[in-house]
Amino acid sequence: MSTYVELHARSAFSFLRAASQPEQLAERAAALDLPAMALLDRDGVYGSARLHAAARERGLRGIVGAELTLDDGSVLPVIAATRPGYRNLCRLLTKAKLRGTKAHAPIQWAELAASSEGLIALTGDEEGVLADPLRDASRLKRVVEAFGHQNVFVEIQRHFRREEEWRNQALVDLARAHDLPLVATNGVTCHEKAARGVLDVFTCARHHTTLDRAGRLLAANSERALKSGAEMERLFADLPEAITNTQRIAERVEFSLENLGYEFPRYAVPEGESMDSWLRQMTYRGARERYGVLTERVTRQLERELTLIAQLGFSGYFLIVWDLVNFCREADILMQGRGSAANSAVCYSLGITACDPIACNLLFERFLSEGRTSWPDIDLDLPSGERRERVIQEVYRRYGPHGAAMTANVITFRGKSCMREIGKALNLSPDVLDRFSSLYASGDFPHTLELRDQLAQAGLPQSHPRAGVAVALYERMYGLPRHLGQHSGGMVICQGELSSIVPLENASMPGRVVCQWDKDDCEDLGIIKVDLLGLGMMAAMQDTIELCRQRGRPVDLAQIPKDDPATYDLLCAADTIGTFQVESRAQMATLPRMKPRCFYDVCVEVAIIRPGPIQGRMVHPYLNRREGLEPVTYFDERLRPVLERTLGVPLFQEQLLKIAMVMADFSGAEAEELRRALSFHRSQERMNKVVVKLRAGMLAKGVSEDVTEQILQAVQSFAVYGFPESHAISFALIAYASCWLKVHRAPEFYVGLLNNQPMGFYSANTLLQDARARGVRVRPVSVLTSEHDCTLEPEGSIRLGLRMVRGMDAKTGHRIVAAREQRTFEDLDDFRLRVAPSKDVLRTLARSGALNGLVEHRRDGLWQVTKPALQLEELPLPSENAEAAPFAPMDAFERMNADFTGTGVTTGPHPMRLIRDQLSAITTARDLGAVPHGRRVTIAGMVICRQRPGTANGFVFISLEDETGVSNAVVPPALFERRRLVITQESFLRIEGVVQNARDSLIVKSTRIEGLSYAELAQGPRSHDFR
Amino acid sequence: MYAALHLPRFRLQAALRWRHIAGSAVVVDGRDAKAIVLEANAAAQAKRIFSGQTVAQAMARDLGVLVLPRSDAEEAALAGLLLETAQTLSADVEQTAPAVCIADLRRRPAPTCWQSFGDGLRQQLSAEQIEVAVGLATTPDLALLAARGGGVAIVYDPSAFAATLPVEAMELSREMALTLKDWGIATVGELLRLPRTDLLERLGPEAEAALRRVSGRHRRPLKLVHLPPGYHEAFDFEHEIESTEPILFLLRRFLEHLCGRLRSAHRVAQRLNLSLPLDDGTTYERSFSIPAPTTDVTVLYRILDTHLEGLRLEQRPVGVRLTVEPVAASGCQLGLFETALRDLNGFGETLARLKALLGENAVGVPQRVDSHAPDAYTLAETFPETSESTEPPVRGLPLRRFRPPVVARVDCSELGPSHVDSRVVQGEVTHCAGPYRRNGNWWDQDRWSLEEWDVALTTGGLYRLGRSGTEWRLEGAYEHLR
Repeated sequence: MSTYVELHARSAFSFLRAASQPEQLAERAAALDLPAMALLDRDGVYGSARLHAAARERGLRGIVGAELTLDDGSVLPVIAATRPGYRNLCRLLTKAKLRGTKAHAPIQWAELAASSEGLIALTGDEEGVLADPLRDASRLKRVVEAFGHQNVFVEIQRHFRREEEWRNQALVDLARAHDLPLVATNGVTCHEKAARGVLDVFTCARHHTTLDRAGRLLAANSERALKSGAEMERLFADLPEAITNTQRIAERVEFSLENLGYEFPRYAVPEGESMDSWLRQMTYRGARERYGVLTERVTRQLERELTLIAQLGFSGYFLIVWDLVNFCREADILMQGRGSAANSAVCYSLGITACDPIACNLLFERFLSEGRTSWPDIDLDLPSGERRERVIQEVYRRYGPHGAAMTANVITFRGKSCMREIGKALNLSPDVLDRFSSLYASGDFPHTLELRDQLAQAGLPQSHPRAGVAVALYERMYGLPRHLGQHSGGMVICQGELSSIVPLENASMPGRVVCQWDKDDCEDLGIIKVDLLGLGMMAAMQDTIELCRQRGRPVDLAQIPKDDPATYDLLCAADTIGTFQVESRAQMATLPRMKPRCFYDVCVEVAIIRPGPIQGRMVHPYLNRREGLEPVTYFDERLRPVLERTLGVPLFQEQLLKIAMVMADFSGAEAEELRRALSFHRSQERMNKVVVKLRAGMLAKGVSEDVTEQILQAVQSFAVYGFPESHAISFALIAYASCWLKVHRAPEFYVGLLNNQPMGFYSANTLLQDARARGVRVRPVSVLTSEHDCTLEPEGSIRLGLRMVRGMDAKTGHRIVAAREQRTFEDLDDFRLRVAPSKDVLRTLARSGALNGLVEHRRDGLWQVTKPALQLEELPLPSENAEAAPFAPMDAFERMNADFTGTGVTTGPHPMRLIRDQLSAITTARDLGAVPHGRRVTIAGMVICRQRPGTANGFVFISLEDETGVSNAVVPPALFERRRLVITQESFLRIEGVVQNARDSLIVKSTRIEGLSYAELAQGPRSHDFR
Repeated sequence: MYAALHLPRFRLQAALRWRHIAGSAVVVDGRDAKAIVLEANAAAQAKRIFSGQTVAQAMARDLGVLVLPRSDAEEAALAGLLLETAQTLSADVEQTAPAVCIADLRRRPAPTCWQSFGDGLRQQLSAEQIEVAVGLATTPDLALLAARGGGVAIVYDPSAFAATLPVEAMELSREMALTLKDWGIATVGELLRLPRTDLLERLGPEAEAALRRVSGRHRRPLKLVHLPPGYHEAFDFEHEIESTEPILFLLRRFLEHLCGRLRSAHRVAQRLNLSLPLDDGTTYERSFSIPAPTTDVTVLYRILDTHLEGLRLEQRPVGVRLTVEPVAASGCQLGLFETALRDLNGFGETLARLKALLGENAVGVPQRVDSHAPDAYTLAETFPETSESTEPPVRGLPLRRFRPPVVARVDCSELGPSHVDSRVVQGEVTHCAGPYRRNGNWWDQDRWSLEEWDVALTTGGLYRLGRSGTEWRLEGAYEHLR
């Protein structure tokens, strides 16, 4: 093994300053036989966790450090030698990041001395503190003063550049003059030479220029790729001490992320209690409330769990989550625990989860096992919006601004963003890039169209001299980090200062602080994460419950019967628009076959339409067995107890763990390893290792090769999209509750949905169509009666709220309501005088009919509102205010278009009804069910959904809405490619095809697709496309 | 009487002028992030492609639709041609908009038939593949409104005319157009039926001005314009082009057309200004003085052809523009020193041909290019203005470059070059430093890669060697004290 250690490498987490993933660097360093490597990303340790994980797997030592931008613009690379050094680094970075802006957050020179303990400073490259050694010699003195003589190394790099040699000679002289040691680094920016192109593109992006114009901003050559020790030794043959010093520094580094020093916060328990004893007390108190009488089975399970929790030292964690749950309860915020926590009877007893794992026979090992080293996973589902924000802010309040943070979300270069950056650098025509973005706005379609063809369709022919380079760059750049966002709900907290564990920075959203690692990094380093996830449906349900209470028909979600026939009828009929999880087109297509009649069926339904079961080809066997079309068999008779309730077909992650335990004698710890491999979607290598182990275990137990292969295939298909049973149960609880509310509290439920848009699968207009189909009357927006939110009128009809009016801010809405509560509006002048809406809002209100009642009709309103506003002293007498409207009212088409433009929904007739008499030989959605299998039909309607699931081999699904309901069509890949633009751009479609009506699943297999363009039909409401 | 000449679908006509399109075509505002269809031809409209749609929506209706970005240069050329045509009708001409000219015909004898007059104008421009609408009326504004209806429209009765005139023809502000749409007003007649006081109270001075325009009683003075100093033609390619052939093809057509226009105005070309917009946003510009002003297409074409033959550009052209500066045919004065030449144009052409033979690189002022490539330079037409250098400070011995570098045969040992043999110098290498590696333009066909060595030879000199692939060259000699 070489003596050389690469001490100065940047990864793509230096954002536009390097071109390789930390994993690529680790892999290459290991291949080059380097013993260790330091990752010094610019102003952060963003990539260090990934490098650490990848390096550990390859027997490489990952060293942590960062390049610090200082307030005079120079860059100082530092290496964390000790844990205090790492803490100092994190604090320095946090202080600067929270003080500065996203683009500019320098560390002050004056701050260095106080935070230099445990850090080793290098002098950097051309951007470093000795960029010009002759000019910057005084800076060297400052670095030495700050870090101490023994902690400063003069850094020299050789990239085969003549200019560099002048600088190196000066650096050597300077080092000797100050009696400082030299150290050689390669200032690595990419793992291999071929990645240099991406680096040049990034340079162009940073400088807002093109490759043609960038000139000497670009790299002079590709020599900043990782080099082997031998090569570096050859390069520095004249300065051998510079190489040996790399090893000296590496030997001085004691710190590694393995020993991060993270501690979960301790929960403050009453005097005389320990966290273990307090958890026990609280658990039993809760269990008695939940279970009433504690059976032996319950007690046994609780004891088992409590013992394990105490043994693993997790009691404080459970108490802290319990405390948060209590906060939600006290603040009247609907909450439900999700994730593997649902497998725990302790969580159920503490009120964290809503499902009894003992009754549901859930596998506790999925949640916690003896061999577990990482924290168990407790996710809390909260109503999205303001209520969830209250919980997040409460966490910040409790743990201080430096004690809690959101986990990061790494935004990577994907289809459009990737090609746009490349295109700009290559100076491709903006038209081509716009067209590419427009054509492939909804994601990449690798199934049927190569990138070259996609580019050709966007106007960049394959013969274009830069087309090949664009494709090659795209392949290298795709997936590299672009910038850091914040995770939707993951929060990390810490005993003491989190900012000494990981640097924190301001999120774009005010009041939020985000850490530099994403949730997988945090999990990998043992940092506990609590997911505070916002669910639109939770918010809608909480609003629904409140409305029910106000209307005197209260609902307690915990008490709704789980065996309500009407709810199951709704599910069987796939009448599930607006409900949770079971409303998608694919779910609705399965429900009539699934015919759920009990709660567990709903759990299966939630879990089965997922990429895991679909890719593992589990869906059809399960449904066939359910329908009695094929016999129930097991991979092995020993698996009967594990797979019995899913008819021999593995559908849940827990079942796979159990299979591994039964068939390969996996211990709890090994099962945990398998779980982590299944859920850790970044590493195929980790998955491969577990598969090898599983295979060996099954071989040892004499499992036949055939069965082994079947089991392994099931395991691998779950690798990326595995869905745990506990998760399914938590989701099914909400799904079932939403269906129950739709059946029994329909008006309140629709109001709840409308007030929490956008959410779910369908537009507000489709929800209203659905409401009307259920007999719920919908009344339009009116300034005379509407509140800001949608409400229910006494007789049960929905009154659309002022929030539906596009372009009107909430303040104006509230002002209208407040003014009306003071005194009813006498006329339009009175309304204008007291509300003072903007001209545009007034027009939109008139156009969408919200002023009706103050004016004769919409056009009259539009005439009246253009009259100059009166001042208070000129308020006319009532008789003066009567002006004849010189126009005829709008016709039905005009009203419909005005509705969609003004509010996005129409309470009038469906657009298809308006053109129905102009259409011939069209089968409506209602009549489609009666068409025999195999018959040719033509359907037409407003597109409400276009989908191209990754599991569907390029097939596209389209849902068309007409005045009678929704019909679905499937488009083969070839037809889609031929008619791509028609399908993606037209709002109304006419589809010819063959009815596929077998086994309760109704769909039209398309053979011909046309746009349905009538001059009277303007753009319809927004559809749900390719999400 | 006033005549208004209006080019309907002006932007599309400008874009299609030098193209023969059989199918559907649209012109789009390519400068916006999401290109929007501005105008569509009849074939496109038949396929339900209309202005306001996105390009993707238009392509959804017809995948084969030709999408052309709007071009200011092409529009300016067409506007210039329209103005020229209007100037043939009267000296008093207003260019109301790029697509509209109004001519005051009151000082010329009235034709026997106004309809034939209008038809004649349409035919004249139709020969140039340009569609024009002609409006004739007693006021300039009425004439313009009449022209917006298409064909030839003569307004004898303003009230009857206004009754059916679509409000769009009035080209109102977006705000007012939206208000009228809200009210469901489609024609000027409907607008006139609204209570006038109420209408003016709501829509203010713009409505008042609009009503005045259609009344036929308001005769405003024209804002007179004169012919611009040059005759201009322009074309933008759909894609960057790699050879000069398409440019030459267009230039010949431009010249034929422009010379025709010059002849009909009794003028000759004294200067040609050629400009080629390039794909990096810059423009290559060149001006050619015509030693003996002429309208001879062959002579003028040969000047351009000779120049383009030797032209090598780093970037690819995305368009071509040609402006002819005219001079009156009889008033042309030869230069003092050129009179002795028998064929002035021939002499100019010879100079250009010489340049073509020696290459563009042989003439001009050398300037360093911002590149890692050694000795990369370009030739400017003029000396640059002195500015502060952004070059890094030069250190070490000065290098005297061999231009071009001298081919050399170099033997190498493990340490680097050991022997050099070239027509300039030969000898054993006593010391060497290097290699120094540079490469660039990896994204292009001009990608390059170079490895350099500094060598001291037994003969006493210090030299720079360069290796590109397997080929060695002696790049220069260092100036040093022996």
